[in-house]
Amino acid sequence: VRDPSDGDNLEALYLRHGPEALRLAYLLTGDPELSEDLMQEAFVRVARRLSGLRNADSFRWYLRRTVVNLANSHLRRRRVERAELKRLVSHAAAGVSAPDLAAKQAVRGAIEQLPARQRAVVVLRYYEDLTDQQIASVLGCPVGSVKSSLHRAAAVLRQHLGQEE
Amino acid sequence: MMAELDDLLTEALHDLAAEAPPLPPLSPRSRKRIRAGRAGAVLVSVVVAAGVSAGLVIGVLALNRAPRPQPPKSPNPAYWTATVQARIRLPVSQSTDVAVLGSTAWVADWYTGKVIRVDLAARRVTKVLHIGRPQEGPISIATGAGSVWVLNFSTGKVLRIAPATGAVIGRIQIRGAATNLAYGHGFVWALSDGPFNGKTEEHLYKIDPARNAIVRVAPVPGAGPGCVASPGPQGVWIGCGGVAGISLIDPASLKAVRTSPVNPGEYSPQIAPTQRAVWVLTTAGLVRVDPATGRITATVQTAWNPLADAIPALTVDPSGRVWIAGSPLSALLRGSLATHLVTGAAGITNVMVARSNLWVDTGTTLLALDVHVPHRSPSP
Repeated sequence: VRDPSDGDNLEALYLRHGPEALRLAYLLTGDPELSEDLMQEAFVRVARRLSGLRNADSFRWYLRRTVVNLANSHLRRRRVERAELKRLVSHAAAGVSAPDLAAKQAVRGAIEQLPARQRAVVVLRYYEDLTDQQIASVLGCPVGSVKSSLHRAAAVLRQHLGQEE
Repeated sequence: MMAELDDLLTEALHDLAAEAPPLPPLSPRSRKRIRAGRAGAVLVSVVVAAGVSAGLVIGVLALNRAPRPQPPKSPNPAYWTATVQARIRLPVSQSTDVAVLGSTAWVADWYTGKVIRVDLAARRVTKVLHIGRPQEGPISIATGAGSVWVLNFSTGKVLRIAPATGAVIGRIQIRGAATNLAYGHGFVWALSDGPFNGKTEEHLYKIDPARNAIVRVAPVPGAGPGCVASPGPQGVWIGCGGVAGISLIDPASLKAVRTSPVNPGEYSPQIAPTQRAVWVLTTAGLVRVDPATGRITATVQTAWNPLADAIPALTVDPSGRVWIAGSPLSALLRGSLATHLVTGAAGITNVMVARSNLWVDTGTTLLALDVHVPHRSPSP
């Protein structure tokens, strides 16, 4: 395992894992500036520990988990205002012209209304394409919690999107 | 309808991800914070490297680009010569961990998600198990209670494997990010980096093989994913990469009963406890700790170079010799504080003893070594 505090290694690690972590942070927060801050914070935390790992490749997993944890705790602290979320939804609905675009934006608005943990589960499943077990590993919770969060999130999303089971 | 929602979610999230801001440069503050947490260890490493290269005990620095060490023309007690007796190629990308059970070796390959059974007597691979997907599966492996125990990183499950059949005969769920597994005192020990009961700190899980169940969980000193548990005669020693100090945990109460100021450095600590000494491989050298007091009683220079891309490992054989892997192999005789570089085998990442035979792992090959010890070396 190389020492990540070595300049070249650190840069290479950052370039390799940073974009994915940034996208994940953005999907979890919806805020470009906040996602940059969260990603850098997560990278610092994990990079300081990297050489403690016998497997350098597990860096990606720890980074992913740290981003999700930071995003969740941030959203919990900030209690993302429902009003702001509603504004986002109505904004998404108002800006549509083509039907498919309208559907996508409605979905985005609905995702942003989900509680932090459910949103994390949805992002990890539908964007990161992780299995229930992998999501449980990232979130540090039992697989059953992942399944129930996904179920609840799907119900909320269906309700917002006017779909029925 | 559900499939339609799945598709909508997938598409919407990928569209949204495309709008994520471009990757900003790693900020100077972040760089500083990363380095600040590690500067001490690097400084120590540099000092050690300088000392070793000045011709202390070993006289050879194992830098990646350095020429492979050659045996001196005249006999030198600082060098031991190894002859390869057997070579077993492993169907792995890179072995992650190795454990021995009788005359078989069990090799975990986290990179491909495989666990390999190797018959060391017959000198061939006899089974390949698939545990999890590549880079998600077996991260640590241990043997004990007649079974092989594998920690599956992605699921956080400890799998109990019947050595004869390779069948999974038990699954025990560990919470959080579990990264290390060991066996000792009749129990399997797993270390996990929270959360547990709302706390995100290191927890030690005690698993009873008789019940295939966790019988106790307790927070333990340490932080980060680079923690290891090393059971020994006195209890379970815990150490974490990047965290100064190791702790002795009572196997019954799971409480820390002793600490030692030894600083493992930034790598996952390699701790080899014996009755009379606890050996810890650190970036500052091989440290001997008095298990009764936790006091450091000696620090020995080794050939392992923490600045090189070398994975370290530490084993004490039945005769009391301490074997240090990490690119070159080196060893320390019982009762001696001089390390000896073993020539004839390079790129060693792990070392183990099976039925009195010394085996080493290069990451893709297991080698049986016959090590010639010159007469001028003190006898064990």
